[in-house]
Amino acid sequence: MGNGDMAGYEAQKPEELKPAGNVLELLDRILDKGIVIVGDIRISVADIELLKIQIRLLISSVDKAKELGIDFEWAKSIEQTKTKEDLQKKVDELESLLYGQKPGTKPESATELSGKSEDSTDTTDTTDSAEPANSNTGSEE
Amino acid sequence: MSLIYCYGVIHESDTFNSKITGFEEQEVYSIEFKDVKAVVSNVSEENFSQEVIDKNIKDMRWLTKNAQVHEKIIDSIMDSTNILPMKFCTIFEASENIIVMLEEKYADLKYNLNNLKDKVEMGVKVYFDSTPIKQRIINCDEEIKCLEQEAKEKKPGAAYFVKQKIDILLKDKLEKELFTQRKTLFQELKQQSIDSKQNDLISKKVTGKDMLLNAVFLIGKGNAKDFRGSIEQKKIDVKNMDLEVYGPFPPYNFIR
Repeated sequence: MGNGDMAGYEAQKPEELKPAGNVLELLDRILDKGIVIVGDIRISVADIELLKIQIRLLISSVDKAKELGIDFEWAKSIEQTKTKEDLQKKVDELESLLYGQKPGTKPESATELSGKSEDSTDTTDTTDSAEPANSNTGSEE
Repeated sequence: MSLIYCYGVIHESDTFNSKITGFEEQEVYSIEFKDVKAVVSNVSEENFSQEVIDKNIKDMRWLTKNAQVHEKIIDSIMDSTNILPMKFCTIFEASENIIVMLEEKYADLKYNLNNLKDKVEMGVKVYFDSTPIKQRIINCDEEIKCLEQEAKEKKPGAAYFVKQKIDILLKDKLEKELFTQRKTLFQELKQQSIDSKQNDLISKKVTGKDMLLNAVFLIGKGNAKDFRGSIEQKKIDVKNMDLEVYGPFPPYNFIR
């Protein structure tokens, strides 16, 4: 928790990444949530999804590479990727590495088990009083 | 020309530690409209113009580092007051623009400041291991047991189709089981909260794990420790599940 010690900010080395879970959790929160107010300058929404995938792939690859048997150096090369097309290509490649499947086939339990059941089943509980406003980020775009 | 980075909004009567510095070691101060205040600090165009942000946002090291700074500053303000947090990189070109924003959003801001006073957010992410759950279904489910028997008695060609049927059935039953577990767990956890919400599950390709629940809870400021404790306890109690608890944070997910 914050203790007002701001002096260390600039000195903070980029290598000191928090564990993947924490960084993803942080980015999920501060990129998507919070007061929906449009500043004169802001992060463009179109990029946020890609960013999260990029960061997730990089960071989770640090944590998961060994256990999934993926070459970590390869995952790190994503960092140098600049264009969306390149990035998407990398994502596709990494996915196929992760799941060892041909392009076009869905990864086994990733989307089907967790994703779908969530959409169709949980709407009653999740939104009992909250409007889904917050998750629709930056619809002003 | 300097720009103004906005961290969040607080009530006029609330004060924060004046020693807090923002990005680029600049002083954090406030801009008022009626009885609400935007908490801001000046940032340079060199580092925070739209052009620079558009460029830097692709740099994950920059993003991660600055996201952590953003959070740390908001955390510091939260220590001494109630803040409605802004999104990362909400920046204005002039203080007049902030006043216009405060005026436009005044009613919403007031509502949220009142509603979320002395409350914090805790996040809980729950992961599960599908293997033992699947195994239990296979062992206990009569329908599947019957089909397995049938597959054994048939010739390989016909057995293949029966096995396919078993796979589909198993997947279906697993989904139902997970739905029940998710619902039960969420109902149980939300008992301890003022408000609660489920966010989208994060897929396995991102986390490497199967996620059962991604929820946030609104908690009284003084109860954050107890809440964390109860999640830690729950983590010990449940089998085949891994609970991760985050927070306390400003109530990002509960601003309406």
